[in-house]
Amino acid sequence: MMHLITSANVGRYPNVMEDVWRFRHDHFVNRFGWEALRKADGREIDQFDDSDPIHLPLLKNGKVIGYSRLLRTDRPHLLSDVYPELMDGVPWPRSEDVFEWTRCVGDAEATDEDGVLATNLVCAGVAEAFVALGLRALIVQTHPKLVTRLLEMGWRVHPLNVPRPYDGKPVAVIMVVASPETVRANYAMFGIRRPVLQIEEDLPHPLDEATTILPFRLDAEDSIARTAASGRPLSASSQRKV
Amino acid sequence: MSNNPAEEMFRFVESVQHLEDRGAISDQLLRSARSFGLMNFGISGLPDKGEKIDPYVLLCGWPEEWFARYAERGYVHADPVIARTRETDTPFTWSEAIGQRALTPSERRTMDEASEFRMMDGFTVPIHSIHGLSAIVTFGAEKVQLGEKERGALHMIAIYAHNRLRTLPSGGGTDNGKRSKLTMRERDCVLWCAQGKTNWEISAILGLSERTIEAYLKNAGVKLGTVNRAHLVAESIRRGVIH
Repeated sequence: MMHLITSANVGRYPNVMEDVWRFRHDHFVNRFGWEALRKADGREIDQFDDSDPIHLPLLKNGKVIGYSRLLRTDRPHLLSDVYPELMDGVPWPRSEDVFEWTRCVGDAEATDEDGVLATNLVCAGVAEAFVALGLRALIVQTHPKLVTRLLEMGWRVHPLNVPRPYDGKPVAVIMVVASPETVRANYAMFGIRRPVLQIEEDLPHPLDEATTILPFRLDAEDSIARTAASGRPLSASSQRKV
Repeated sequence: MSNNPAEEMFRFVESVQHLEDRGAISDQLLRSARSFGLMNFGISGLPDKGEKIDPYVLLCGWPEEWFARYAERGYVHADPVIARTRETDTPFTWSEAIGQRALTPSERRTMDEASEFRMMDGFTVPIHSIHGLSAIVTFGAEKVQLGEKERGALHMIAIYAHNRLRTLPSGGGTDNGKRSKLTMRERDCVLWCAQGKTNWEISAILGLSERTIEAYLKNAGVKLGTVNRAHLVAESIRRGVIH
């Protein structure tokens, strides 16, 4: 189950956040070798963790097995402060409903109870978060090969500039957009049977308290919904189309 | 040579998603390739050892005589460009692939014969899908002169060309369309099913719950449009999902 953690509820998750910093260090530094992020205390925290990010940890039995972070583009983010040269001086979409998708990772072996890989659950969960928060777009800096995968997973993907080598590997700046169709495509492709993202009912929308968060729900006519064994009855509100 | 690689990339990416047939995609790709000084191209999946390339080809823009020879004589298994594609996720030129190591005599012959068709060099983009390395987009040229930005633009153009071909409504040659794509887990379950195992036995083999196995097989059945277990196995074999 993936959780949506904002500045409004981060206080409820002290243990999860501690696990997040260590999980990020384990994977990005120890597994992928991003030495610039290495920390003596084994907790990977950067300056952007102070600019009101959205944390999306994927938990299994209370333990972090996957993670992604969304950074506001109307505040400092990686493209603005770490490698703006990737854009050659051309402006990119920046507004309060455009976020930067960073630190996307899943434990390579971990799966949920249905045998779905953590990496795939993270991707589905981010698409659900996108839909639930009503975002306009995400910007991503990534190896171009991931464009093929994002397209396969039903994201709309727009390049923002030509890829260029960065530390010996090509890096592209892209803008991606998800819809409820994207979430359904993920479920079908990975055999996911129920929503991945769990959102606290009293959580205010991170951008605007007056806006309601509309969690993704499978439609009643969806065959997957009928076989979902979550035990949660489909209430009227959960059948609302999003 | 294109004056503005980014502009050419944006033009291609925008136009290709509206194209509904291979001919039109081929025309647009040729236009882009030429703007970067490249001559022709091919887009194909990668056959396993001993397999022919023909059923894997998604788009063939090679000289007819060359491709006929390449397919007939199984050059795909003696092609240093293909060998390099299996080792990297970064695009490369053919001369980079050749320059890296000593070629076997049959690899040398493949490259020599390509140059008889004026393809002295080329530029190749490995395509990685969710299931791993899945295809190659490769361009031939008399001479490759690509800067960093041209390489980047072609990388993206190749990705979008391949993706559009993969999702064409008619499906393409080797691709039975999205509906029939089973996940690895679903395929595993079908494989054990074909061995006569019950759901309980498969669950023990794969270390998953029986209910999970049931769900995988059910999803596989929906994707292949089958009505029962025997039908699912038969259809999976017919479509080459399992052998």
